[in-house]
Amino acid sequence: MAIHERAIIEAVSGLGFAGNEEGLIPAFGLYLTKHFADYYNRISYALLGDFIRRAPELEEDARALLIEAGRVCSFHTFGGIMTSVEWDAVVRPMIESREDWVLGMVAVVNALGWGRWEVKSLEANERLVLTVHDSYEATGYVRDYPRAKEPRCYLAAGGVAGLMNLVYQGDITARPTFSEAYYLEIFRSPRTFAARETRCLAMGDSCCEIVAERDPI
Amino acid sequence: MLEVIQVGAVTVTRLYGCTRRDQYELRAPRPFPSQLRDRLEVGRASRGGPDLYVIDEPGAFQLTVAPKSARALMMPRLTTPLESQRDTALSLAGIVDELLLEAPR
Ligand SMILES: [Zn+2]
Repeated sequence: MAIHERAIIEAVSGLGFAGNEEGLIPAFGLYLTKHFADYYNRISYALLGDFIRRAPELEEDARALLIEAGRVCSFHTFGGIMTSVEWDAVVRPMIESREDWVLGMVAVVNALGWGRWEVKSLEANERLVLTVHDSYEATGYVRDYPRAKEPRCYLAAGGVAGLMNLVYQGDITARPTFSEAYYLEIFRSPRTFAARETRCLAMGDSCCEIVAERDPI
Repeated sequence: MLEVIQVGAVTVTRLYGCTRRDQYELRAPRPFPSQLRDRLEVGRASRGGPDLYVIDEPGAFQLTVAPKSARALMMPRLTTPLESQRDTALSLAGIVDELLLEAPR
């Protein structure tokens, strides 16, 4: 593969992401924030807990909402990153195939401190299997809650589905505009990618594993 | 995309950011000269390497530059008025254009 993850991590880290006097991190054409992982975790798991207590019949819907937040996040964040000046300078020169877009994006994720993502297998246009080591969602969950019966990495699952959608259902290589219409076109298509977390640290597994496939449900 | 402005050889595209700030993309038909960083660094902070660097002026803007791709993005600070954001982008584009003219082809 042409993607050199270490070089990407070094180049991205070399930009020294830190908040400016506005408290924002302008990077990849986006305004990022340095955020407490625990804050995201607490509000996500509190939302899920509230659904379970107040309307247990909607538990699955709560999960779907949290995963959908991850899909929307990846549409804008991964979409922004893969069309950014930073991407053009660091990742694009390494790209030889459409699959490299996925691998390059995973390398950038690994510079951002969300845990360590590792592509286990990538079947072009069909399927991605990815493991996450030290997922911040599962790590926070394990610390604060009893062992889960279901996986808990909703943002990561939505993110992985979103990445596959950007690369294979849409066409990120053509630098699309990230409008609501484009989101609906690629994320509401019957051929859209959905992700399942098949192993999770929060369930006692050694790491998390996410499988993205076209509409597997 | 809100507007496309030509500054010599540099194409400046004004992109919608939010109600209080736009983003400005600068593109040129050939790589930005290496002297650009020296010019932009005067009185400003910079970080990154020769293939990708960031120029930052607190209270004003951040410019991310990919010189080999002949592409840069200016992200203004929220506190600056929209009109001055545009002026800053055009003045940065003017510097790029001037150096492109001076640089050997
Ligand atoms: Zn997990």
